[in-house]
Amino acid sequence: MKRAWLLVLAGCVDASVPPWQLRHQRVIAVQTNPAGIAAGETATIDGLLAHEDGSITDEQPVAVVVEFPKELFTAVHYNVDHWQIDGIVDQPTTLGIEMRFASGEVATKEMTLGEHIENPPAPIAPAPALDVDLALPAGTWLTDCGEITGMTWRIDAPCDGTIVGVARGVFGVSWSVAPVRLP
Amino acid sequence: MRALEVFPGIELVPVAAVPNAIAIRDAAPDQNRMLFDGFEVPTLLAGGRGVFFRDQSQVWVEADGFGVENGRATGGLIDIFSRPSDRYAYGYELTPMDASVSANAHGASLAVRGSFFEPTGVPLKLDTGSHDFSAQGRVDYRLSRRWSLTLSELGASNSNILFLRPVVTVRYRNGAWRAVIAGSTMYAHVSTYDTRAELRRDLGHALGLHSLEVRIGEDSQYSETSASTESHANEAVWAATTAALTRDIVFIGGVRADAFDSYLTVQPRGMLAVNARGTIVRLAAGAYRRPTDNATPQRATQLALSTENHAGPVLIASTAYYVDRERLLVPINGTTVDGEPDRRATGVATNVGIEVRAVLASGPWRARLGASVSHATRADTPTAASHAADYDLPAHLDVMASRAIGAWQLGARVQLRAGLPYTPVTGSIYNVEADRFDPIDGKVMSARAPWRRELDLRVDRKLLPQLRAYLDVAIDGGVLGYTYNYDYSRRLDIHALPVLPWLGLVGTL
Repeated sequence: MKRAWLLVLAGCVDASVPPWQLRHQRVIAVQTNPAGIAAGETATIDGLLAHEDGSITDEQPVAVVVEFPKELFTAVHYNVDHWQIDGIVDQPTTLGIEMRFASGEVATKEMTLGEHIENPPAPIAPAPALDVDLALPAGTWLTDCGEITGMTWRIDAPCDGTIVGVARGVFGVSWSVAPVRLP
Repeated sequence: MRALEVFPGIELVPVAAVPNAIAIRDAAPDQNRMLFDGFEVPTLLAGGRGVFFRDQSQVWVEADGFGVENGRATGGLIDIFSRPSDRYAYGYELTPMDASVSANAHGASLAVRGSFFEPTGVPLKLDTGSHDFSAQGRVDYRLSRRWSLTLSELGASNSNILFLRPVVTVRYRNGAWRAVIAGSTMYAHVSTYDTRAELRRDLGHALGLHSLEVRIGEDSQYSETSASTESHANEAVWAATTAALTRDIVFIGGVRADAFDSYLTVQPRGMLAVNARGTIVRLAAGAYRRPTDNATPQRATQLALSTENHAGPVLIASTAYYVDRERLLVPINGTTVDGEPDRRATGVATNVGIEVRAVLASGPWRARLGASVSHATRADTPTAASHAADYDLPAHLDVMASRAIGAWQLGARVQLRAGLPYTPVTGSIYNVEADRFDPIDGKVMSARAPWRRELDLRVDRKLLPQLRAYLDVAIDGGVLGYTYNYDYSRRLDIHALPVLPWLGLVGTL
């Protein structure tokens, strides 16, 4: 057994919220749907945001700009009621975009133009229990019920909240949002 | 090692919240050099403590510029000289953090220290699974009436640092001639092979002077990374003279030529010292260069006017200085080389300041005072707007006093320091692919950490003729610095421990 006790000498007074905590204003993930588009196809942009009151919203960004390559700036535009990305190249090209959401959060995202790619399948939320093993090969889980330590989700008190799983593939992102009710 | 901070221009700066590196005036740790018996050792320290052994070393801080004998630094030098041993003695020291033993014989000495745990990380923690070790030794052997040999060594290891610096020094003395030849290698993440040589001739009253001495020497360093992926060769030759016009007017000056890989630099330096009725006034000026990876050497011009006066039991020293730095490395926005930001050597900096030191030794009283005010700025290019330098320390006050009362010795130390500047984070951008928040920096170095206030109280008690115990209580409620949470939405204070008691036993056999 490794004898490595950590004695906290000087507290950095870390009252900060851990990354898995949903009750915090932040961008959880951004998805282009699909993850890559061939010439002539179009994609939409969705952001999943968490808020201080525990609510989760699926939002369109209020502004999107092309970060690179700059010459493809016409690929991203607003179309009636949503942001849209047009497949305007034939060869696989990585398009970098930066977007801002209504609450002020900023995110960057990359997608592929010139090749049709689907997002990975959405993770299946586990049923809440005392100790839950969160098996997700590439991705993260967030919740406002209990605590997540490593890949273990522990709920030791009644809770009415949400668990969010974000799966990240080689290309693309997907998510699932599930309610948690533990009487 | 905190004793070094009694020099007003020295600041132990945190690396991952542990005071682990030495800044001298505005010079960043990498612009300063720490030398052991003339050869460079890492300036990173073991948890804020020196890796060398105080009882077996002499330590000199050269902040007002240094002679042409040393180079490859544009800030200051910390010279550690191992001391020859001339008596049989054994010592030990035990504290809650570490234990050390030392053994001295006629012509040989060895000291070893190991820690029970190691300070790491943010917030500051003591990791009992990690330990640091250091060892220092020296052997002197007289080869003949004119030749002598010294073998010395300093080494340390912990989770961040591992080095071993053995030094072989041969000295020759014959009348007015003296010579020193030394060689060393250092095993570390960057291995170096070094030589130094010096030949000096005392010319007595030549040229009608009170005294005249001339010296020539060389200083070389070949370094390569442990994977042999990168190597550098630095060669230097120098010539210097010490000329006393009268007994009270002395000039020391010379010129040093360094070849840093393909760059050749010439650095003249000089110092004029005048003893005017017990007050020594020194005016020093010099050019300093240090090599940088794949860029032109950094430059510094240092000018210092200092005074030193002994008035009975009181020594008062003061220095007014000006430092001009050029060709500092500046990151180029948006460009990287091997994952690191690409940099160009266009930065400039200036530092102007005044320092005062006073030392009192009278009867049972000992007292030291160090104070400084300075203003250090830097800019990315000579025409760009300037901002506070990374290690700008506008004000620093350090007062120590102790009194011996029988078997007791009582001491107190007060430190007051302006906080170091930092660049505040104004927001963050979520990088979806990396699942990481990247900070959005505000105006460069536009904010400053709060003032540091520290009080140390110390009681020493002689328990037996050869055994002493001490209790040191450090009181520090200040903020060491700041860090941020994972998405940079909250700034978090890194506090020092409000009260840190320290009990130690020191003995000799």
